[in-house]
Amino acid sequence: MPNLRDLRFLSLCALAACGATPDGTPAAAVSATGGTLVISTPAEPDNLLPPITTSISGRQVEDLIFQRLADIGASLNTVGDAGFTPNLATRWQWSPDSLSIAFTLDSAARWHDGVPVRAADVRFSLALVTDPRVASPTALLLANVDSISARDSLTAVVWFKQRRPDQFFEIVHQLYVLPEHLLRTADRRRLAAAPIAMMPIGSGPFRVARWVPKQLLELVADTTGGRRRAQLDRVVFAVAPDPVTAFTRVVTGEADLFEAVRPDKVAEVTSHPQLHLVLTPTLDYSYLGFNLVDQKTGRPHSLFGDRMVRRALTMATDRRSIVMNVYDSLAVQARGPFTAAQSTADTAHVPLPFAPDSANALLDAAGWMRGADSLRRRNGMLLAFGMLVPSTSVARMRAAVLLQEQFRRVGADVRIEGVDMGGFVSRISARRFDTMVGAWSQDAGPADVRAAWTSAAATAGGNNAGAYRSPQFDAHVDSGVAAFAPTAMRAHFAAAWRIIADDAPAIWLAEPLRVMAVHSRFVTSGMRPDAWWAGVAKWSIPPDRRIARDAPAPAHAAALAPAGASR
Amino acid sequence: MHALIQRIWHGFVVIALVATATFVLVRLAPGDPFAAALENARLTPALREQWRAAYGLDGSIGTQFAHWIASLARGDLGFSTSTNQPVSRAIAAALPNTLLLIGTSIVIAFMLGIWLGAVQAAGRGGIVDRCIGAITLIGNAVPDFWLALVMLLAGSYWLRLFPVGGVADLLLPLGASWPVLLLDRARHLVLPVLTMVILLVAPIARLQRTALLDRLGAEWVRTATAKGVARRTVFRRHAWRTALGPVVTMGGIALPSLFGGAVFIERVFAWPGMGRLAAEAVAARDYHLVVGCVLVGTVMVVIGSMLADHVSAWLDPRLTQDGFEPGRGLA
Repeated sequence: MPNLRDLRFLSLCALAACGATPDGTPAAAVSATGGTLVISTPAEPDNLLPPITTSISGRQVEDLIFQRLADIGASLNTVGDAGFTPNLATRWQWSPDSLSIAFTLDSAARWHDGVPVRAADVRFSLALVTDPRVASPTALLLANVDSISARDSLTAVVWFKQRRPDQFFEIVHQLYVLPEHLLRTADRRRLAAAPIAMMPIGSGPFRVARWVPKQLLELVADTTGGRRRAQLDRVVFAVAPDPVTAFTRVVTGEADLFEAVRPDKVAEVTSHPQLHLVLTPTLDYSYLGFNLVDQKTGRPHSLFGDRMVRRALTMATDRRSIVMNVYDSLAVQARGPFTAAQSTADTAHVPLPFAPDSANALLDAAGWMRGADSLRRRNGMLLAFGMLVPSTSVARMRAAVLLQEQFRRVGADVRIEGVDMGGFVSRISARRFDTMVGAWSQDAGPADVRAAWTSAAATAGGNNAGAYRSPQFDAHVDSGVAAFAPTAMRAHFAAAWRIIADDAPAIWLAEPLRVMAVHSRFVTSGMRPDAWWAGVAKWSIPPDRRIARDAPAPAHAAALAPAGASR
Repeated sequence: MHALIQRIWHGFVVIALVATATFVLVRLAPGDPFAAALENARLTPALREQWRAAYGLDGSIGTQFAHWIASLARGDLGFSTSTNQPVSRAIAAALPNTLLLIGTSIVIAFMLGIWLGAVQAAGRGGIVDRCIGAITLIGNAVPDFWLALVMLLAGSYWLRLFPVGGVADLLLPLGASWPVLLLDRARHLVLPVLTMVILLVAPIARLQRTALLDRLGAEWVRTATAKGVARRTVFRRHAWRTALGPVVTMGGIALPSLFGGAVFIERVFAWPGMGRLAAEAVAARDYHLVVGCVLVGTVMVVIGSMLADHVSAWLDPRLTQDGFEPGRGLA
C-alpha cells in the first residue's frame, strides 16, 4: 500500500483544496458548462426535506437543491460573520445591538418551479422547522432565534433572543430556505410522507430530475432565473448497497466518485490513471468510551468509576499503532473530543501518553494486582469487561481487537461484543455496556461538543452515554461557546480539553481522513471538512476532457428546462 | 374442490401465524426505527419519542398489532419509515425485480439442472457423470456471497463485459426505445442470473440424477425394456417424467430459500429486489416493511408449495391414485 506521506498524495490534497486541476491549471480558467458527475454511494437519502433529514446522504443532496442565506467559509469560523460568503442573501446588515440581522435576498432567486424566492419563505422556513409537530432535529439548533419578519419582499429580518458569537452561523448554516407555497398545506406531523419529501422543489444550483429508490437519484442543473448556473449539467447518485460494488463502479468507469475508499483499496485507485485519490480532513473521530455509571445500581461503575483505572487503560493504549494498523496513514491520532479542522481545536494539546509501565503502576496503586494468569484482580474480582462494537464497522472491529490485546498486556481481560448497528445503538441508549467503540461526526459549530460530553447530555437518552460529568469542563465549554473573541474561545476550549483528558472518560483514537476516488477529468473545488460536496456546483470538466456521458442527451436537455415547463 | 379449499385455508393459517410471529419478534429485537441515528447529536430522546408516536410505534405491541390488523383489513400494509413511502408501494417496486431475477434463474436452472441430471443418469459411472458430479458438487459448496463477488469481479471488472450492478443503465435516456431498454435490462440480468443459476443448478442436477437412477431400476421400467420398447422412449416416457416429481417439489420448497439467497446476490449486484428490501428493512428496524416483506414472501411460498404439489401429481398420476392428498404433500 502506498504511504500517504508520499508527496504525490499530499500534492493531490493540496490541489483539491485550492481548486486547481491536477496539471496545475487554475480552476477559474475553465468556464464552459456541461458534463455529468456520477457519484457511487452505498447509502441513499432518507428523504429530501431538510427539517426532517437525518442522513448524511440526504444532506449531500439537499445542499445541492436548497440554499442557505450564506455559506460558512473554508476555515469553519463560526464567530460573527467572518469568512461567510453570500448565497441566497446577497448582503446582510447587523442591528446596532446585534440582536437582529437584516438579510437582503437575491432578487433573481427563483424556486425550481419558477416562483420567486421571497422573504416570506425565510420566515416560513423558521416557522416550519421550529413547529413542534414537525419534530425537526434542527429546531434545537435554532433555539436562540426568536423570530423572522419580512420587512419587504426581499428583506428578511432575523431576531435573536440573545447576542451570541455563533448566532450568525446558527441562522445561516442551520436553516435551509424552503418554499412556502408548496409546503404550507403539508401535514406537519408526517412531513416525510409528503410527496415533496421525495421530489423537492428548491432554489439551489441543481434540481431533482428523478429519484428511483434503491437505484439512483438524478439532479440536473437548474437554469431558472438569471443567476449563475452550476458548471456541471447533472449529478447522478448511483446507489449500490455493497461498498465493494459501489467502489467497483468507480474503478470500471461507470461512476466518477466514491467518497469512502478503504485503506486496502488505495493501491487499487492509484493503479488506475483515470482516477485521483483526494484526501480531505473530516470532523469525525473514533473513541473508546467508558461507562462511568453502573446502570443497575446508579452508582459509579465498579471499574470505570475509578479515574485511575481509566487513566491506566488510556496510558496502556498505543494509539499510534492502532491508527497505523487500522487506517495505515489515512487517519491521524485523535487528541481529544475535537478534530484538527475545527475552530475549537487545540493542536498543542498533548493527551495522556502511551506509557505501559505507568499504566501498570497505576493499576497496582489502585489495588488491581496481577495473578498467576497475569490477569489483575482486586478483592477476588477480575479486571474484566466488555467492549461493545458495531460489527458492521470494519475499522471499529479492528480497533477493538487491537485494544483487547493492548489491555491484556496490562492484565485486563476484555470481551469483544460485536452487534449490529441497531443492537449497538439500543444498548448504548439503555447504557448497557462497559466500554464501547464509538464514532462521532461533529458539526462545525463549537457548541456541538455539548451534545456528546457535557453533563447536560448525560441524562437518560442523551448522547453522553458514559455519563461523564465535570462542572469545570462544562463551565469552560459554556464560556468558550459564549466567547466573542476567538482567542478567548480557544483558551476556554483548550482548558476544557485538558480537563477531559485528565479525567479520561474515553480514549480518543483516530481522526480518519476522507479518502475519495475521483475521476481525473474533474476540476474540483470547495471541499470543506464538514462537506466535501459543498462546492460541487463549481466543479467543472474541461471541454477537451469530456467523455461520452458528459454530452447532454436529448431527454436530458429537455430536463434542463425550467421545472414548470418539463412537468 | 374440497381439498383445494382446505389447502387454501391451511395456507391462510400459515400466513397469519408467520406474519404475527414476525410482527412480535421484530419488535422484540434490540433497536427501533429512530434509534439508528443515535450517533447524531441532533436527535434527542424527546424527538425520537415524538417520531415513534407519529408513526404509531409508541404503544404496546398489542395495541400496535391491533392497529396493524385494522389497517391490513383495509388493504394498508403500513408506512415504511426507512423508505418514507407506503409499504405496499415499496414492495410493488421491488417485487417485479425479484420475480424477474428469480423467475429467469429458476427457468434456466431447472432446464439446465434437469438436463445435466439426465445426462449423468444416462451415462452413470462414466467420465461425463463424474465430471458433472464434481462440478455440481463445487456449485453446491460455494457460498452465495462469495460467488456473487467473484462473478462481479470477473464479469464487470476483469473482463468488462457486463455492467457492475443495477437493473438499468444509470444514464439511459428517458425516451429510449424498447429494444434498447430490453437489451439494457438483459445485460444487467446476466451476472445475477448466472450467479443464481450456478447455485441452483447443482442441487437440481444431483436430485434429478438420483431420482432418475431410482426410476431406471424400477419394475415398470424393466418391464417396458423387456417388452422391447426403445431405450430412448423408456428413458423419456417411463423414467424421466416420474423422476421430475421430486425436482418440482424441491422447486416449491426452495422458493423461500431463493428469496433468502437473493439477499446477497441483490446486494452485491445492487439489484433493487425483495431480498435487498427486506435486509435493509431489518437493518433499519423498519417494522412495517419487514412484516410486509415476510408476508409477501410467505404468500409466495404457500402458492409455490401448492403449485409444486399439483404439478408433481400431474407428472406422476400414481401419487393421487395411491391416496396422495395435496394438503399433506408428497411423502
